[in-house]
Amino acid sequence: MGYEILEHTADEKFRATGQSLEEAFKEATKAFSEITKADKGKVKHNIKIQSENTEALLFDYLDKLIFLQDTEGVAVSHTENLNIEEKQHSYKIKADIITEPITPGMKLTDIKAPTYNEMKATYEDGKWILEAVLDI
Amino acid sequence: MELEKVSENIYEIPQTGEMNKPGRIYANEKLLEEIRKDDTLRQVKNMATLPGLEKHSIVMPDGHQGYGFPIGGVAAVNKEKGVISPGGIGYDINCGVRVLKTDLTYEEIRGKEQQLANILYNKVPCGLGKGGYIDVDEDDLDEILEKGMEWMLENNHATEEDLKHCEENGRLQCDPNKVPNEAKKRGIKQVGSLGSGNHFLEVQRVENMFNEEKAKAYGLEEEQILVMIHSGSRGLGHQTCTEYLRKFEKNYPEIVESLPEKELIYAPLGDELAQDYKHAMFAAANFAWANRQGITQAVRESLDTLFGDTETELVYDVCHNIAKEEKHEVDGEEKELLVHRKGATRAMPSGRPEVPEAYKDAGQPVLIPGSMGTSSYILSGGQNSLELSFGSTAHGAGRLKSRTQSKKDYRASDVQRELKRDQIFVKAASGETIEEEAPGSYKDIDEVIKVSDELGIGEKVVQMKPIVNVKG
Repeated sequence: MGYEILEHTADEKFRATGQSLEEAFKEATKAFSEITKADKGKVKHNIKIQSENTEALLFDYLDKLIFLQDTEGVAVSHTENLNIEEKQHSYKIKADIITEPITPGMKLTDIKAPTYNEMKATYEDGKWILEAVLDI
Repeated sequence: MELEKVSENIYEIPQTGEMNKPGRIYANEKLLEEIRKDDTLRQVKNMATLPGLEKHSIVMPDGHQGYGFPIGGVAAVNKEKGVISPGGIGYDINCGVRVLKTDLTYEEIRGKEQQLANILYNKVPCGLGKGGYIDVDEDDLDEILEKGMEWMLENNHATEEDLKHCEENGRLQCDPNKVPNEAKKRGIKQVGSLGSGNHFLEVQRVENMFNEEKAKAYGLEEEQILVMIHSGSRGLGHQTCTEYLRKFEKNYPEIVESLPEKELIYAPLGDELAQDYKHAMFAAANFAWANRQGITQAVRESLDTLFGDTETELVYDVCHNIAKEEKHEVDGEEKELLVHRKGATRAMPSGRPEVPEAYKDAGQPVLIPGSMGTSSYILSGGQNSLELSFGSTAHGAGRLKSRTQSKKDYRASDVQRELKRDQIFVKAASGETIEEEAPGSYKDIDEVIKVSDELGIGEKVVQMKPIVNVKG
């Protein structure tokens, strides 16, 4: 399973897939990192998110990554120890987001917001598919 | 989709199904053909389902597909039955344009274009994680959200003349406490920063004059050097939109259920949550004006450094992503409306209270940026804009190709060489940005302006040619 960057007129769109929802989110993080054009990082940030369904979870997760980049002056590289706890009408993510600090001269894409536009977070044909358009 | 041609440049989507009013497209055949290629028309139809909508849902000649609502969309709703929709305003609240006029002429800066590009690029923070030109603390930020340009004046980052030449004098009355904390955390390091994507800073020269009288009223002369700034409320505005979208979604599950797309979510104007969002949105708009003012200060410093003491005055500053409370005549009756403009520029003619005193005879200046390497325009608000578009016109060229497609079609070095041949100097964070923003990625700005002018919603005053373009 993996990810790909898809065609979109004004912004950037990705598709991430995984055997499990966790794997799909790990792949989505890599897609996010590729769009940002970040390199491998080492700085660890612990995050926690709770949302009412898988679409909202993807939206809130992407929102958190963007918030991290804007407020900590870092670029997201990948995620480790990503864990999803599922209850009725509640999904919780706990994860370590690994980032690299932004230094002058780095050429990064500023992702500004997640969107619900064309969003997908579903289990189909034996795999999880996450799709999202990012406002850049 | 079947459209009815109402008259030259005006097409209508008849009212059917869930639509509360018909939809309208202001375009000529060439632009309409481009508009038909994506989802714009369906989105105009969706926009017409907004409760309390007056007259029509409208899309401008530069319209293209957006999230939920089209870019270039105008939707005016009445105060009694109407709603407010974050998606009808856009993520970048008060994304807008300002134009500065200088006492420099093209002759005076020739030969120094590259230096000018370099100094502007270094002085104006661009792109992700580069900070802002103005240092502010948390208390300052709260005051900026409340007072916008007035805070900039009080702290010596603006002149009184700057305020007089800014939409709303750079301040909308609001309760800044409605701005989410997370949004404030993103905005604190971004006062006076350009951002990235299609935002830019451009040095231009006045090339063509279409209306000398109005050009004179705006203080413009042939060969004069102008500086155009296109930026918005940065992370603060985006986070404000994101958080309220989620609040609306959680608070109105039955509305979400009834919508063809979640991004169309709205709240009835009478509800507390709608009012909270309105206050937060106005505060973010104040932040955006302060941001563009911060960039202005960086431009002033750059010009003074390179050319000695330079007079740099604000011609005008106007937003193209916002909802404003305005009075308009509908069916012979004056009504209080909330006018959503998403990628549409307010274009008020003379006689309207919104027009600044200095321009009361000429009408409001309407600032329309072209794409990198093509002309930009200053129009004046047209008399027909009140009847046709609630005092609005287009906001730019409008994207034609996806960024991915542009990267396939263009090479940064070729684009840069071709532009340099035309004496246009581009400085960007990366080659990819230049490819993504290559002139061919956008619609023909001249066609967009032609439609606006012919309809009399925004009338041509001057055309500017780019000299130096700085991108995030």
